[in-house]
Amino acid sequence: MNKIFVRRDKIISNSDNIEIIENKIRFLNNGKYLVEYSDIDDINLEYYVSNEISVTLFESCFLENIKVNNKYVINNGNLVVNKFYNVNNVLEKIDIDLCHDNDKLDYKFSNICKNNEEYLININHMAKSTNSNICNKSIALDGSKLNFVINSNVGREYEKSILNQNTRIVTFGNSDSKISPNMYIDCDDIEARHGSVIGTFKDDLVFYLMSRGISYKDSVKLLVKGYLFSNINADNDLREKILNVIDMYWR
Amino acid sequence: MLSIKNLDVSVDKKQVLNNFDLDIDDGSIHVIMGPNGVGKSTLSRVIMGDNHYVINNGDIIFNDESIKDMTTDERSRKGIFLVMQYPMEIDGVSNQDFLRTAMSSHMGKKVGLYDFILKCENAIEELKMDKSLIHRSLNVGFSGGEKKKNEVLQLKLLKPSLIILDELDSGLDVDSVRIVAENIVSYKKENPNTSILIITHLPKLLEYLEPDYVHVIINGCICETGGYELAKLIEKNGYNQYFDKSNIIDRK
Repeated sequence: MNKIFVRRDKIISNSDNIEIIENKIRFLNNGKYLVEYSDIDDINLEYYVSNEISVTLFESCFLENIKVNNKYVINNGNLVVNKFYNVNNVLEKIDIDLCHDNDKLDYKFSNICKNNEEYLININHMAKSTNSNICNKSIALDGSKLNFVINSNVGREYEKSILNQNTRIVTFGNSDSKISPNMYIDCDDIEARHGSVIGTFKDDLVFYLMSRGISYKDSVKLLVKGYLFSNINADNDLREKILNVIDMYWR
Repeated sequence: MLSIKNLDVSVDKKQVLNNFDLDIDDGSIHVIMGPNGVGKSTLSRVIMGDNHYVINNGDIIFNDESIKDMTTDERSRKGIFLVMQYPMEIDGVSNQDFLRTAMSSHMGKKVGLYDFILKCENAIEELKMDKSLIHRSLNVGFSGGEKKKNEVLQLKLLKPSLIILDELDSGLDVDSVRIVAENIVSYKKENPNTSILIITHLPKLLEYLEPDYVHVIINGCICETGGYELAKLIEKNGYNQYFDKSNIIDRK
């Protein structure tokens, strides 16, 4: 696996498949790339996918407080982002540009929100037949505040594009959660879908698991695991880290 | 094994079981029959401890112990298994993870992977199930027949002493009904003390699982009890006669 470690003063990688210039990371070959943020609170990166390559990113962050201002530029390529956060406070702004005809983005984010997190995701369709799929699956713990604003933008001439936004927040106790799914479409011939759900796990799901002898706590834990891993495709290391976080909250 | 005494149950302030009594001995097969909406499935969920239903009066005794205040998982671990009419689909929870967690909960210790696979493979073969279903999300994308087979797979692994079959045949084609029923019959042969409570409105399933007692439920209480011949009579005549009776006894 190609690895990228993002720290306060530098970006380090074990891979020859990327080029790093200042805060810009350019992918040179198809592949899977693991991105870890450590010892940093202000993240400002630009990722570039071009030359018909397909990139899968696995991003994770387990820090205290972060402010993120990242950009993903796809210019004749495909990008899949699998991303997991368990952070105390997050203020994140993401811009994603699909610049070339037929560019494709699959953005899958999951988090366990314990305090205060705000996400602004802008997806800019800047060419024809571009395809963006945004899927967020969050857990909001008791007392937390979680806000998603997702803006999909399509200009007049970028026909045949496909936009999908799907954001779900499962709440525990009293949490203040909001989702604002926005689609700014200035073109007739596009396909657009969005879904936003905030709520708890259905009682019937918990009842079903408990009817097989599984305790309430373990039933909820199974549901949390299933919910998070049905969204992000984690490699073994990241999966282990996420499982440890789940174990921490649902001991 | 199971004794339900004077049970009054309501849901959303509506009475759904009225002064309900039922005794099930070890190893016996009972059938609850009745038309749609008379409280048959309610009964199964009340026995299993669904907290949407409020028990206002009466008790449920299982193996000489009141289970009325036990949680659903405790009741399951005591040996009660409800084969659900509509098994839940849970995206992301793998069937394997779910089954292993359930087995571990029943055994009070983590079941080893090798042990689990061994037990699972035998049961899957007996049920003529597609092996790949074990690696998929729980019941997600399963056909009606596959869901019911998956329920019976759980049953075979968890080894209950009381099985409640809630409309087992719904969503099953004739071949699947036969396979599922044969597996329950074979489980019963291996575990003769296991009791079965069959909830159905169609008596077809009883050709495979011949009952000792048939009870007809109307308006939340049993209005007639008989043997297998009663089920055959209902198949011939329907339930209208009982509505006439319940008009006299219970309609208010």
